Amino acid sequence: MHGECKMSAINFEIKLKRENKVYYENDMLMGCVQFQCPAEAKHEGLVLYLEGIVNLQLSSKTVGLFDTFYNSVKPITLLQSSLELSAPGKLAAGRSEFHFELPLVCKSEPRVLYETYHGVFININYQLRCDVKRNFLGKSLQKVQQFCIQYKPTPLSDESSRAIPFSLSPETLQKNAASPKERLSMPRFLITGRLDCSECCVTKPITGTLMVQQTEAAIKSIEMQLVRVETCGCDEGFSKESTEIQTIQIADGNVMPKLELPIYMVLPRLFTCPTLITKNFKIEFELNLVVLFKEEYVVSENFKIVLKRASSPLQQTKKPGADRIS
Amino acid sequence: MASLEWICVPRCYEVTKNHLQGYETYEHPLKQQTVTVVDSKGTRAPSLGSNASSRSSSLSLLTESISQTFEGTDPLSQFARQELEFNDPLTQLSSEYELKSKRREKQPPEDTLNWSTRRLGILNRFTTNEKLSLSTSFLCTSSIEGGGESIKAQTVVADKVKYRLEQLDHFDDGSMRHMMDLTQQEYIQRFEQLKQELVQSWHSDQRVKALKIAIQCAKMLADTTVLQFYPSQFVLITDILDAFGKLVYERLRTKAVGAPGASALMLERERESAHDTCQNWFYKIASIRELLPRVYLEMAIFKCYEFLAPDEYDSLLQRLTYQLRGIADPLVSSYARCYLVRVGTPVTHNKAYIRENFKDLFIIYPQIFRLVSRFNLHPEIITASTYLQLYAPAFDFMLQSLVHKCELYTEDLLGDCRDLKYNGAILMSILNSYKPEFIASNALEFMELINNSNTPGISKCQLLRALGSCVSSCGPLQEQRVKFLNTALQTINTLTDPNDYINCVETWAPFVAQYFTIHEVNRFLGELNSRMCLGKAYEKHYPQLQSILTKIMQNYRTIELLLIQEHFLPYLDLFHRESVRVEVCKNILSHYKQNSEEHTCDAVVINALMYLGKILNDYVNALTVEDERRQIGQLINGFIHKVHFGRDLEQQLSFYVEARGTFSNLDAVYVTLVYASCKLAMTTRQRVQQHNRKTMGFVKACIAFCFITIPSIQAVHQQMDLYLLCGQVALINLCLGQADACFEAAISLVNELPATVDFEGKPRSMESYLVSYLCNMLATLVIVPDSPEQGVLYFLRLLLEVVAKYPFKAESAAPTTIYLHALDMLYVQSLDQFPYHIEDVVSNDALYGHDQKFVTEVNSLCAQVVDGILMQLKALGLAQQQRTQAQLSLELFLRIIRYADLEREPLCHLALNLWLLAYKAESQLDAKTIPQTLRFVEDLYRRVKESSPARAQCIAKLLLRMRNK
Repeated sequence: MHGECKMSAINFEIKLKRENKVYYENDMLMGCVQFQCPAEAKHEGLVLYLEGIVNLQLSSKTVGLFDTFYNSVKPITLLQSSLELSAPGKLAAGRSEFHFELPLVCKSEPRVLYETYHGVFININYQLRCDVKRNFLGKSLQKVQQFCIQYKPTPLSDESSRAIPFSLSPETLQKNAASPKERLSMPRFLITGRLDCSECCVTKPITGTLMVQQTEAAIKSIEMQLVRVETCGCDEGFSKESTEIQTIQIADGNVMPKLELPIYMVLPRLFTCPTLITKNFKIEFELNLVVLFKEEYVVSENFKIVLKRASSPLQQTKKPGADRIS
Repeated sequence: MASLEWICVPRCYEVTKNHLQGYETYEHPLKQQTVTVVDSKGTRAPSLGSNASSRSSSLSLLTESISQTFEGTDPLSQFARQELEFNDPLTQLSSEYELKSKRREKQPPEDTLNWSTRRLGILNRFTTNEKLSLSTSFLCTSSIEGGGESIKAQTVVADKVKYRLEQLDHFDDGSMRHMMDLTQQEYIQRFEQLKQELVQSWHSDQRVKALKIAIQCAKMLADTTVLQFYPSQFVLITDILDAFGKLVYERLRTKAVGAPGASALMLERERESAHDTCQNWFYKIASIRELLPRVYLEMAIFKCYEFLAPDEYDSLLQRLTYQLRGIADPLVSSYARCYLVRVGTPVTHNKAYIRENFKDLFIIYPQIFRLVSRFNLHPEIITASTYLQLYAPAFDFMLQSLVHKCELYTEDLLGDCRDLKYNGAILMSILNSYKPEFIASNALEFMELINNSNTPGISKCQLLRALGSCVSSCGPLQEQRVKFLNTALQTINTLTDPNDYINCVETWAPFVAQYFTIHEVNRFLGELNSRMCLGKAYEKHYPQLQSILTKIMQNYRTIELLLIQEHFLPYLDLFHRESVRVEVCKNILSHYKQNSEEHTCDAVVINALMYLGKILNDYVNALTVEDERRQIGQLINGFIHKVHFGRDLEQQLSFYVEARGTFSNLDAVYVTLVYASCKLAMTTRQRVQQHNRKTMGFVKACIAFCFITIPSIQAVHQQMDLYLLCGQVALINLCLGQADACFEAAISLVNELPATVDFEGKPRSMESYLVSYLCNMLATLVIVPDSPEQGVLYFLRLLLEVVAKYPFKAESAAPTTIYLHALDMLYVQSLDQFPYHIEDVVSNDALYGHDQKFVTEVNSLCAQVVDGILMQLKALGLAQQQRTQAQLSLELFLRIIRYADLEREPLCHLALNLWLLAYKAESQLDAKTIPQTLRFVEDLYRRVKESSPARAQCIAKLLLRMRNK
C-alpha cells in the first residue's frame, strides 16, 4: 500500500504540439507525454493508444424495431494504433518526457478520416490515451487527450452562390400541414425572402433576407431553426432522427411590413460539421423558418442545406473545451 | 448747592499737537503681508502695473496666499475651502443639472458626446409611480445554483457544452423569481444588486453566471409595460451591460498583453489564446435565442472585436444596424440603436452606420405614430406627447453623435426629415442637438419646417421654443434677421393657447433683446401685453413673464432705455399678485443698480423707477421681515443716489420732496433723503462761497426739509444723529435759528432713547453711544452762539438737565464722563479766544468779549458740574466701583490743576483729596497711571513757571503735598 501511495503521485499529461489541436488527414500527430514524479517510480510499461471511432446509437423509439439489423450500428473504427513509449522500468524523479509522432491515416474501410462531430445519435471522436501499467496491486493510470480532425478547405461549387428564394403564404403550406379548409380560414399573409446560398461553409454565418409583404394577423416572432438529421444504417433499413441544434430569433414582434429583415445565423462550431453521407450513416442539416403569429398560428418552411468546409480562416476551429470563455 | 467756588484760570501756555508723520503709500496696509509673499515668490513682473496679465496672475496668487497664511485663523476662508472640497450632493446634483441645461452654451465639444452626463438627467426626468416588475434568477436565492460544481459531473464534452449552452437560454423555473409591485426606488436598488452580483461572480471565476445575469438584464429591455420609465430602465440596464463589457474587455486585454518578461513564443501563444477566448465569447453570444439580448450583448462587448477584426468595425456596425430591424417595438428599437451608437462612437469616427440607423428609424417612424394614435384614444395609459418625449434622449444622443465633428450628414438628414410625415419628434431633436451655428444659418428653412410640421404629440409651441433658444444663443445672418423674426412672430401669434404662447415667447425674448433695437423689444412687449391680458391669462404665467423680463434686462448694459419704453410699465401691470409684483420690482431695481449709467436725470426714467419704488414701499408694512425691509430700502436708496440733476439743485430738492412723499414706509430711505439734502445744502454753499439771498433761501429749504423729515424716522438714535448733523449744516450755512431748533430737538430726544436697541438679534446697550454722541454734541456747542432769546449757555444747561434725568445705572461711569467733557467745554467758554471757529459765525468769545458777568456765569456752572461729578464719585464708591472711582477721580484731578485757580485753597484741597482717593486704590489701577499723573503735574509746573510764577508755585506746593503722602 505504501508503494501505491507513492505511485499515485505520478503526474502526467499528453501534450500536443499544435495549440489548437486541429489536424488534417495524413498529418503527423506530434507531441509528448510529460511525467512529473516526486520520487523514482516503478511501472510495468508505458503505452500510447491512438483511437478514432464513429459511435452510432439508435434512438429509443426505434430500438425494438431495429433489433434485426443490430450489427449495422456497431461502432466504426477509423484509427487504431498503439505505441510503446517505454518497456517496464522506472521513471526517474522529476520531469521526464516521451516524444511521439503518429501518422493520421485510416488504413481500413472507409479509408478516410471523417471530421470530428458531436451529435445526439452519432459521435465521431478522436483521442490519444496513455496508460501507465503497473503491477497487480496497483491500478493502471490513464490520461486522455482529445484532438480534432478537419477536412482541408475546398472551395464551394458554383452551385452554392445561387440564392434560394422562398415565399410563405397559406397557399404555399404543405398539404399535410393544414387541410384546405383550414387554409381557407387562416389569416392572409405573404412573406418572401431568400437564403443567400444552399451550400454553406461551416465557418461562415448563414445569411439571407426576409420581408413581410403583408399580414392580417400580427406576427409575434420569426425564428430560424437549425436542425441536424442523423441517419444510421443505410443498407438494411435505417433510423432517421431530426433534432434541433439551435434557434435564433430574427424578428421580435409585429415588424413593419415591406421592411427587409436580415437572416443571420452563426453556426455553432461544436454541433456542426460538413454534411456527411456514408454507407452506414448520414449527417445532414436543415433550416426551418418558423413564423409565430399572435393567434397561436405557427407556419414554417423547411430548407435543406449542405455544409462544407470552404475556408479555414485562422483559428476557426472546434476543439475540446472550445466553448471556454474564461 | 454751589458749595464749591470755582474760578477758571486763563490758559497761559501754548497747546501743541503732536502730529504724526504722514507718508504716501501705494498699498493698503492690510495687504502688506501678501505683497511680501508675491515678492518672495518672484512673480512680480519687472514692469509692475504696466502689464495687466502679470498683475492679474499675482492677484490670484494673493488670494491664495491669504488663505494659506490665514489657515486655522480665518474661519471664513476655511468654510469656503470646505465647500470647495466636499461639494454636498445637492450642489453636485444641481450643477449636473445645470450642465445639462447649459449644454447649448459653449461647451468644449469633447464633452457633448459624453453619455455619463446625460445619465443622471434621464434618470431624473423619467420617473414613475407605477409598480414595476423584474425577473431574475440571481437575487437572494441563487447562490447554490449555477456553474461550477454541476458541470464537473458531466464527462462527455458534448454534454458539457450542451449543458452550458442550454444554461444560457434556459433558466431553471424554480430559481426564476418574478418580483412584482416594486416601487421605482426598489427597482433601482435591485439593479444595483444585480450589478454587484455580476461583478462578484466575474471575480470569483463564475463567468458563465456573469454572462447569464447580463443576458437576463438585456431581456428586460424588451419590457415596456411601464412606458414612462423606459428611458430610465434603459440607463439602468445598459449600466450593467457596460460593466459587463468592460470586464470582458479588460480580461482579454490583460491576456493579450501577456505577462511581462515572457518569451516571444509565449507571448504569441498568449495572444492566440486571447484571440480564441474572444472568439468564443462571440460564438456564445451568437447562440442566444432571442434577438434583443443577443444584439445587446454583442454590442456590450463590441469593443472586444479589437482582438478579432480591428479593421471591420464599420461593417460589423452596419450588420448590427441591419439586424436591429427585426425589433418591432419602435421605442425598444430606438433605444437599441442609441446603444449601438454609444458603443460605436468610441471605436470609429466613421458615422455612416449612424446615418444608416436614421434611415431605418425613418422607415419605422410611422409605426411610432400608429402607437401615438392608439394612445390618443387611451390617454390614461400615456399621453401622446409624453410618449414622444420618451424618444427624445435616444434621438438627441444619436443626432449629436452624428453631427459631432462631422458635417457630412447634417444637410442630408435634414432633407430626410423634411420628407418625413409627422417629423416633429425628429425636428425637435435636431433643434436640440445640432450646432446652433448651423441652425442659425438655416433659420428661415427651419421656420418653414416648423410651419409645415403637423405632428400629433409635438406641438408647434415646443418646436418654436427649441428654435427660439437656438437663435438666442447664436443669431441668424444679419440680413435675414428681420424677416426671420417676423415670420417667427407671425407663427407664434397663431398659437391660441396662452400657455403655449407664453412658453414659446419665453425662449424668443433673449433673441429679440440681443439682436434687435429697443423699438422692436417695445413692440414685442406690447404684443405680449395684449395677448396676456386676454382672459386674464397672465394669472397663470407669472414665472414665464418674470423670466422674459429678466432675460431682456440681461441684454442691456444700461437699462434706462428699456424703462422708458411705452409698453414697459403696462407689462409690469400684468403682475397682479402682489408678491410676484414685488419680486419683479426688486429685480428691475437691482438690475438698474448694476446696469445703468452713473447718474440719471431723465424725468421719464425717474418716473418709472418711482413707480416701481412706490410698489415696493406700499408692500412694506408692520409684518414685513426686517431683512426684506432692509433689502427694499437698499434698492430704493441705490436709485435715489443715482438721480442727479446737475446744476439744477431746486429740482433735486423737489425730487427729494417727492421721494419723501412716495416712500413713506421706509426709514432707510428717509435717512438717505436727509443725508442727500444735507449734501445738497453743502454743495450749494461750496458753489457760491458766499450765500446770496436766493441761495440762503434754498439752503434754508433744504434744512427745513430735513427738519420735518427726521421726526418720521422711528429709531431715536438715528433721529439724534441726523438732528446733530442738520444743526451742524445749518450752523455752517449761517442759519442760526434752524441750528438751534435742531440742537434743541436733538437734546430733548435723549430721554426718549431706549436703554437697549436690538442689533442683529441681540440687545445692545445704548450707553456708550449716548456718551460719544453727547461728547460730539458738546464739541459742537462750543461754537454755537447763545441765542438772544434764551439765557447764557442755554443748550449746555439743557444738556446737563437731561443727563441728570437720564436713568443711568448706579455703577455706570457714563454720567461722570459726560460731566467731565462738559467741564472741558465750559473751560473753553472761559477763554478769551476759542480754539476753533466757523467762518462768519460769531461764537460766544466774540459775542461776550470775555465779559466778567459771562465768566462768572461759566464759573458757577463749572462749580455745579464739579458738584455733580463729586456726587457721582460718591455713588460709585457706594457701589463698590473703586477702580472706576479712582480713574475718574484722577480725571477730575487733572482738570482741576489745569483749569482751576489753585491759589484758592478749597480747590487745591479738593485736588489733593481726589489724588488721595485715587492713590488709595493704586493697586487696582494700571501700574503706570500714578507715576504718569505725577509726571504730568511736574510737566505742567515747568510749563507755567515762566508765564505765571504764582500758579507754578501753587502747583509746586500741591506737588509737595502729593509726594508727602
